[in-house]
Amino acid sequence: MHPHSLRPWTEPGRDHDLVIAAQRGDLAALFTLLSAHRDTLWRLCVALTLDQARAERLYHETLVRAAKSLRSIPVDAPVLHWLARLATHLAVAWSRHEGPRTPGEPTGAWPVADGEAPLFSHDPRMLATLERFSEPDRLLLHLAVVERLSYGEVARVIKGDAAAVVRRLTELREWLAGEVAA
Amino acid sequence: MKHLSSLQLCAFLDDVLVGAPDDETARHLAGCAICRTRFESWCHVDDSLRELLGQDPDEHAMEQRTAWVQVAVSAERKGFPAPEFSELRIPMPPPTPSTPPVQLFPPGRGPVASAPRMPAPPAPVAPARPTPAVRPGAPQPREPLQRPVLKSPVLQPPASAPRMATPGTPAQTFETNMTRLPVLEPAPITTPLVRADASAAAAASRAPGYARMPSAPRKGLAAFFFKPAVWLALAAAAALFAAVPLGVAKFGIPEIKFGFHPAHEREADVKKAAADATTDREDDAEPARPKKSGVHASVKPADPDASVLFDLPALEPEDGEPDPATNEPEPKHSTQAAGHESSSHGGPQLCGEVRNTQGQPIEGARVFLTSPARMTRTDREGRFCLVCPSGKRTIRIEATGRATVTRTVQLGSKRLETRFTLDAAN
Repeated sequence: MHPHSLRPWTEPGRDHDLVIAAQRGDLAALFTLLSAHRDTLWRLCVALTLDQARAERLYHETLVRAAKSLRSIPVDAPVLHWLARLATHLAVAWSRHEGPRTPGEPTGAWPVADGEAPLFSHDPRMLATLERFSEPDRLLLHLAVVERLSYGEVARVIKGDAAAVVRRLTELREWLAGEVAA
Repeated sequence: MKHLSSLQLCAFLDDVLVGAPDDETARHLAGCAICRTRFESWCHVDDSLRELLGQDPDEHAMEQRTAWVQVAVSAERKGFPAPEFSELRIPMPPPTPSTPPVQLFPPGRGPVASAPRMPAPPAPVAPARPTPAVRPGAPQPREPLQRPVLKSPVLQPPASAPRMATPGTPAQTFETNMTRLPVLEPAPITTPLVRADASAAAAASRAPGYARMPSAPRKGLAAFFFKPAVWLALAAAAALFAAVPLGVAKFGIPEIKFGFHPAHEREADVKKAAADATTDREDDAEPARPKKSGVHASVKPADPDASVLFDLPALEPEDGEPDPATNEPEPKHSTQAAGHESSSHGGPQLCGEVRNTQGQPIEGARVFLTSPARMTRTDREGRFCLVCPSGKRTIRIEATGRATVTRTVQLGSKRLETRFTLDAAN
């Protein structure tokens, strides 16, 4: 296991009781379950949307839809895997439906983020490169680099192959390094 | 020298390599400047990504976002339509340079005073908001705070709270901080307050931007008459009472008849009629003989006319038949009580006799007229007679043990005699 995999991504039985209680209609258990992963899910939404307002909407819709389809939560896997897939599907659907951000919107001019600091203000080239990535690629980068999950964990989250995860991650890193260096 | 592959570099970067491969990669990186430069660029990318996407969100904002989720989920659980996110999340107004500088938190407290999480590279696109210099003692501009329109269930500050406190006080910092969140915009006061306390009303109307508090709920009769539905019901009742005398004056008092007779009463009537007929026949000196052909079945004690006693269901008119709804109203009793006399009873008669293949009359055969819906039975001589409007009529004859015969006849203004022969059923 990756030494940095200390997040709730890798604890399958962590939310078992809460999931069962929420599936039986316990609203308090549901809100406790959703609140337990809110920070992780928020970071994931930011990575998927690269936008403060869209991240808020994605975060909201993901949790609302998760509450709607509680029956489909797998009890033997971490809830975050399911939430991450749900958020990614929503982000992909919205991206296809709404398209990218408005062309006239300058890069990095997000609404004032938490703490009165711009969300992305340090490297516009990095941000511009990330915007060209698809949502699954952003998810992969986020899981492997930011959340520091192992390749196997990333593969379990995205329901893919670990070798494919390594190959795609290498390509994305190479691409990013080339764009930033250019 | 063979350089490291991208996969090796990626694996080494992610600490996946263990043992000898890890040592060999480390030794190669120590000796190869090209691979080291490449590795450092990858490390820079990873660090930038973590700085970019790995920020922990603000606790207060996350609580607000979680509250929006709870509002939506609770509404759905209670069966109400979940509010849209746009109804919950109010877009924040863009920061304007005219906004007075605010201190979000007291010095030494809060996230603003602490060091920023991100290193401070220059912000090329979104520079920090300019902070105009404030002279000590200068009057602060009394510009109203920009509050978005009320759409979110956020607690409203009490009307007695000061509009803006002295700069630097905790109340001011709290209220200013709340401007970043959706805050209720009070509704403008459009109707004057109907209160005896004029001073309170004037004070409430003078309070800028805050809606007056709702008055105490009405109780008793006042609450009853305050409902619009009550007034609508009263108006409808008054209109009804006004219309009834007018209708009576014009059309008179309607006569209401209750013609319902239960089945057991009808059977009792039939038995009584049969007994009376038998008594009459025995009293007569003449021997009992059947009356002339065409005797109404209702006077036949054993088999009364069903069309008189029962309401027959309307049959569907066949093709080419006139619509019964367009015909003139028929007399209530379709069969004639006596004789084959001509249409002195309100219309032409459709009469006939029903016999079997041996020429013997069939008694009690059911004669159906589809349009208008009529039904009668044949008498002892196998005769029947129906009164119906002229035109093309369809008659159906049914008898027990006999095949059903259906025939369409053209009935003129006079009586029509027909003859039916029923075969034995297969």
